[in-house]
Amino acid sequence: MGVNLREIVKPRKTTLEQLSGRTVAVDAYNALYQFLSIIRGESGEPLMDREGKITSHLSGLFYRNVNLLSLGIRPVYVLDGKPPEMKTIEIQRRKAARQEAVVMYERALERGDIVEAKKYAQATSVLKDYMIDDTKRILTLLGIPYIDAPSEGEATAAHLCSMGLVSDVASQDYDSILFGAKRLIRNLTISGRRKLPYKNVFVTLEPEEVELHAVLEELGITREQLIDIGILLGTDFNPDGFAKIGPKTALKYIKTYGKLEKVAPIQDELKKIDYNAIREIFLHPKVSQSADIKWDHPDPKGIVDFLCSEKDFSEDRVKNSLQKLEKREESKSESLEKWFS
Amino acid sequence: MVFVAKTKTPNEWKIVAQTIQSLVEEASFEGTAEGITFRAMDPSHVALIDLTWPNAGFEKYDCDKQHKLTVRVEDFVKLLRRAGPKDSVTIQAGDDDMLTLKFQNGYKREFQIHLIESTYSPTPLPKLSFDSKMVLKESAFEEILNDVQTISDHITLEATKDKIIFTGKSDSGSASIPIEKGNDALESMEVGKESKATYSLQYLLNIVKAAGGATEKVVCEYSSKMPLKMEFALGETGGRINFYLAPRIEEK
Repeated sequence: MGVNLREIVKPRKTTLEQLSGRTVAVDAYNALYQFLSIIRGESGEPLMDREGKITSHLSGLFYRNVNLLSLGIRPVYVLDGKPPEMKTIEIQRRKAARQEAVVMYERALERGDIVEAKKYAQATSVLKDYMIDDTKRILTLLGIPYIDAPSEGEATAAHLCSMGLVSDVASQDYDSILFGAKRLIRNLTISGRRKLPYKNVFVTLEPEEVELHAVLEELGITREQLIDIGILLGTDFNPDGFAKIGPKTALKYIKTYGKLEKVAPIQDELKKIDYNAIREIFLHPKVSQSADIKWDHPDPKGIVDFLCSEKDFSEDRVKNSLQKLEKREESKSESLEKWFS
Repeated sequence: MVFVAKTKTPNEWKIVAQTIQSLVEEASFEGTAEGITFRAMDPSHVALIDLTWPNAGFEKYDCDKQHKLTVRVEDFVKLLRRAGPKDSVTIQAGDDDMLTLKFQNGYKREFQIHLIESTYSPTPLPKLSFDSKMVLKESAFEEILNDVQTISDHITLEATKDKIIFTGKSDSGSASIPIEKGNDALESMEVGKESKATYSLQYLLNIVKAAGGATEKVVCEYSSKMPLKMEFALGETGGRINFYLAPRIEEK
């Protein structure tokens, strides 16, 4: 879920074209869950190969990344490792929500209510081990690097960004900027026309950009204070947040009192959580300290073999996309970022 | 708080603004007691401009504290275009978030535009060492770029001990322009180690056309597969425009 900082940080609209040349650390699990929940058939069933194995994630990874690469955006995927212990409650909550959605989905199907079924189907996605293997395989074939993070993927992604190894972090969660990402891009892997969950309405999602430096400067606070605001609103490590505190109040409290310990009205509630440990997760998370990030040329034949022969993708569509990529390969420059560190 | 910078002619400002316009839409000039600086990259981070314009390069310069002057480059260029070749240009800023431009040659013309809020974040300089350095005649360099562009959208620079070869290749054909040491077009050349790298012509042409207007020579420095640095003098002001361009991704 992550912290909802939208009202405070006010993301700026951008376009994929403007992001050309950027190197982006993508929060892989975040993107994969999106693909799994969005890329579905008429009655909400995921895409599958002939063996009944889900392929929604592969479809998203392939078509999305081809699009990014052909626009000159270079992603590196960061996969989650072991979650911090403090995340247990949030993980349990998500699991329960998923189980409930599965029950509701099946009941709707029994009733023959396709609309309802699709609505619940989107919340049932589970990331299986074979999907992670698929992910690594298709990324390698596309020439896109990936990193296995020791803990939270977005923490390592943010770290790569603050070290200057990538220019941006892509995630839907604002947590990335609490983790220190200099620049966060939202909607990178899902921009375009998209159906709203639970509604039969289509919207066009555009990428948005949040710059940590600009946010802190505008609000007149430090990153430590932004983390305190996050804790007031609720993070993955204290999902409920504080009673009756919304973004405006949280900002006002931290600006007025400086830090959590000094916010008089919340002291009773504050005692119930280990806020120092949460701060510590954001300020000093477990991350990969170094990374060898290299982009390679895609392997068109390997991609067709994997997606079309093994996973039953349409060969015409896959080949069409690969052609788009080849055209781009012929005309791109490196990014100067490479020489900054 | 006050910022005043006056030049005898609009030429330098025109060149500076047009050069910046080829890369970004908004420009944050930093004014300090020492002079004016500007640094930014294009949105795709392929090219970087680094401008230094010391106070001695102005007819009159007054800056009491650090001023950040952010303008929409298009608006700024539009105004500067109104200045005649013999107009003096005075640029002024105070406390009111407005930028004043005064042109004077006989009578005075005064314009005010709104400064905009800066979204600028500090840009570092790439850390580079260069194996090859050459000083080219600006007009010849521009010709070479135009020549190669007839064939390709990128240009390869290959420097050896006694010559530099500019080449371009595409499906339609190839272009090759070797220039030997001692030729008029090549004022000087030092090659520590033979260097070969390829760059986008679009960026190069935009910059050389814009920044080359106030100088007769361009200093180019690079190493194999590394960014190119070009230095343009800003007329007789003592100012300079440095330009960095990342190389193209090498094909297998």
